Amino acid sequence: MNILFVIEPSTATPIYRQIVDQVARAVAAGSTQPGDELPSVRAVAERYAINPMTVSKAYSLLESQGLVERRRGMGMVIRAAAPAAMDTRLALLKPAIDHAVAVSRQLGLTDEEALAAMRDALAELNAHDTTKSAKKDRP
Amino acid sequence: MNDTPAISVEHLSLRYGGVTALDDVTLNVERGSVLAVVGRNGAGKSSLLQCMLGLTVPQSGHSQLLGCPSLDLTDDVKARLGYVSQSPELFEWLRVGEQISLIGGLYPNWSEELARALCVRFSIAEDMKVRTLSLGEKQRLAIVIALAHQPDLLVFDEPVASLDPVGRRDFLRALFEHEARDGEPVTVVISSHLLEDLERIATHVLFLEKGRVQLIGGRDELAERVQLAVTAHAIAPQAGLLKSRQLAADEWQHVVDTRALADGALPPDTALRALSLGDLFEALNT
Repeated sequence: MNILFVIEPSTATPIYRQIVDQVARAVAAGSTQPGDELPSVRAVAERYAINPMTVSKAYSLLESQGLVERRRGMGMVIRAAAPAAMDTRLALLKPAIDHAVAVSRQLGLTDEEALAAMRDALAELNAHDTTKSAKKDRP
Repeated sequence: MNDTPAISVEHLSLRYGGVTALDDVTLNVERGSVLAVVGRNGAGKSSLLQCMLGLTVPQSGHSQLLGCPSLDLTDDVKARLGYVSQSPELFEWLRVGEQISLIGGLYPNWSEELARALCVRFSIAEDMKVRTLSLGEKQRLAIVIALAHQPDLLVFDEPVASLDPVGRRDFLRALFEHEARDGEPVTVVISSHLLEDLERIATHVLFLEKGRVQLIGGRDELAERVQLAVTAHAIAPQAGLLKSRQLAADEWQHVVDTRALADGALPPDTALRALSLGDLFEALNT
């Protein structure tokens, strides 16, 4: 699996937390499959010029959360597990929603205007998905 | 595994002329950690590193490197130490390749192969005269030499100030390419103003202000614990209140250690904001 991390050093979120969140999101979204291998600690550290210990820390945390497991000779792989429960997915969405809410307040939008913007964005995405997956045949 | 800290500093004070460079500094650097030393110009960063290395003699207090008194380092400890100063001292009359071979001969753990590979990576031509190198190239050469003898402890005093962004990333990567002799990660102490670089590698951060330890702790722990609060009134000095500044008639900004601050110290519903290293640096130093 080729997870492309987005590492932003100059933010308040520690780098290990950024890695944990991004793997958790990929798993919750179903964009990874059980058995997919995470890139090695060394490879991630080298690619993003970060401390290997930070990557180890992130992977250990993911392991303790049950999202990945250490497999002999393979490194870290995504665990076979039920898709994330709804409340987990909502919890992962919360920071993005909080941010959008803060920005809408800064812009002086009313609650109704902000909600309408969210509905519009969803409608736009749905229309796009429908045209794209017209041929897709999923149970 | 050895539990002695890589560096231990106790009650170091250093004054020269009428200036207090260090004022009762006490800290430990655990093996395998990367300590970022930050502070404004004149905060005492270089003085601290030089005292740690035994290059400057403090008025009081003492320090140890790898369990050995800094002012009396054994040859063995010196061989396990890599240091790059702000203005590296090199043999100006030699060519780069000659300088590398000459220094290499002095270190038991020297890797000629690593030295050559690092020269290629840092774009330093071995047939250049050291005298003709730019400051950035001299720094890179000093870094190559410090890394190629595969030390257990690396000390850098603003090593990357003259490197371009690509060179700086390469430098950060090169720090983690060898292990210490006991198989543990290498210990690194690095002073710099380039906070984004430090954020990539630091496990611990030391904030110095006027020669004193202003704040020290694990990077991730600090990010979760030390936050910014804005209130309408001043708050009395107390444990957990690291810095306060008045922004406007009814606006005060505080840097707080949320774990040390007593319940009720802040008005209810005070919003707390997490800080990047750069934001924390600014909030602590203005």
